[in-house]
Amino acid sequence: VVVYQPDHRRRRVVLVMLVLTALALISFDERGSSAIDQARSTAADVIQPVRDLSSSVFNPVTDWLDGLGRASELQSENDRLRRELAQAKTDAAAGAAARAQLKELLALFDLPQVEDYDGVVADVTGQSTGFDRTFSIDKGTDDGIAKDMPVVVGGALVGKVYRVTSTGAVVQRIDDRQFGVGAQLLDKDQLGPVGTASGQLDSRNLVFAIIEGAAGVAMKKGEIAITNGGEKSTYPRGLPIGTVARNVTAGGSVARNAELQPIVDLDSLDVVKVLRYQAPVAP
Amino acid sequence: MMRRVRLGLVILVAVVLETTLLTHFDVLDAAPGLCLLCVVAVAYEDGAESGALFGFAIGLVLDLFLITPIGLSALSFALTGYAVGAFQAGIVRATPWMYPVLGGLGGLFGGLVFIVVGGIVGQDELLSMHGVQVVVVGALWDALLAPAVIPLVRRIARRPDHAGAWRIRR
Repeated sequence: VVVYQPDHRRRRVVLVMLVLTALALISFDERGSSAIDQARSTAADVIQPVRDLSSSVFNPVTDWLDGLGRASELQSENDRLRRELAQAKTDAAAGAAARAQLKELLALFDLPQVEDYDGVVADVTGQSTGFDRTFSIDKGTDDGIAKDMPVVVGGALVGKVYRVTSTGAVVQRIDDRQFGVGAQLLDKDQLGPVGTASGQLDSRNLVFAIIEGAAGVAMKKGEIAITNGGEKSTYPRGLPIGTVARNVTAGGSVARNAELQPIVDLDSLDVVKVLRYQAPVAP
Repeated sequence: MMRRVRLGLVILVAVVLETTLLTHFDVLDAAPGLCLLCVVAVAYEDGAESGALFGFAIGLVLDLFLITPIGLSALSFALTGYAVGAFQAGIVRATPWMYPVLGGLGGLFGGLVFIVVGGIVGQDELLSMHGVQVVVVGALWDALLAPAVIPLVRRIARRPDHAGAWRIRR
């Protein structure tokens, strides 16, 4: 009887082959390979129905558990929301005239408005944590969704379609480290500085970095950042992104960054709307 | 054949659970890494080659649902499977505390490979203190879940003839 260990050489060859294959895949994907996109899409389509089914089973359970753990927090949040609702009703009445005026201006300059785009309502079927901040939805190209379309909740931007298959899509959240969008701050009665809003790896807040008008700019807590839009932007102008989390003064020629708190709680998304927005074609 | 089907189902269930249910348990941006624990279990049960192959397969499926480049999880899981499989060849007798240690070390190793390789291929934000924090907290999660997950997946991955790392020829 001869007892011998498994072939060490063979297993090393297998490992080297796997490492080389993985590195090749990473390299192709980084460069943008349609074959990989297609394979990814097909495989995701196969698994998507199982994920949809499991999320419909698990979501009520996890929502209930989340609610148990946050009972006192939810109570105070409820009180705060009631106060904010009362304030919002007052603001809405005061802002109705301004909105009508804005609408007239947008129409005058022939600029697109959020209401101009039809949307696809989708259920959130899963979130990813760790290094990616994404979530999956149960609608895909079959429902008219395409890559880079903005995703909103109640009009506020929560992400963009990062990858799409026929039956589902992965949405990159606005607080993902690789997310970035042109933005402009909006004070109560005037437009503020223009900049970029981008996600951070180590925070749930976005960074707003001014790219023009830096000298002597003050950014007040509570100011709203909206998408800046533009000819090359994949976002329509005017989608709220977040509010300035604390007062920031940019002195001299060097601007300081402001932190933006997302308007929507991105960890508790259940239903979202994908705007079928296409960037205007430059003449 | 039946074993491959069983392992295929393990991949499906683990990926679905990791991307749906377990995301609700994130602490400091880290959630339990069920897929990595399955890799550790298969490697511990069946050795380095099986661990690497299974790690590559489950990592590739998980990559479908991430926005990091496809192949990054596959690479880190394959290396973890190989390392755990090579490590288990030197173990004479398993003890009860072995599972949390394996789960924790596997999570730490896999996570570090993920952020280092990610950094090399252009995801340089991963190589940060926050990235290390996510890996460490994720490894603690893995150590916690390992005593429940590893024995179960080992049982599923067991060969019918129970032929492990050693073979006998007459």
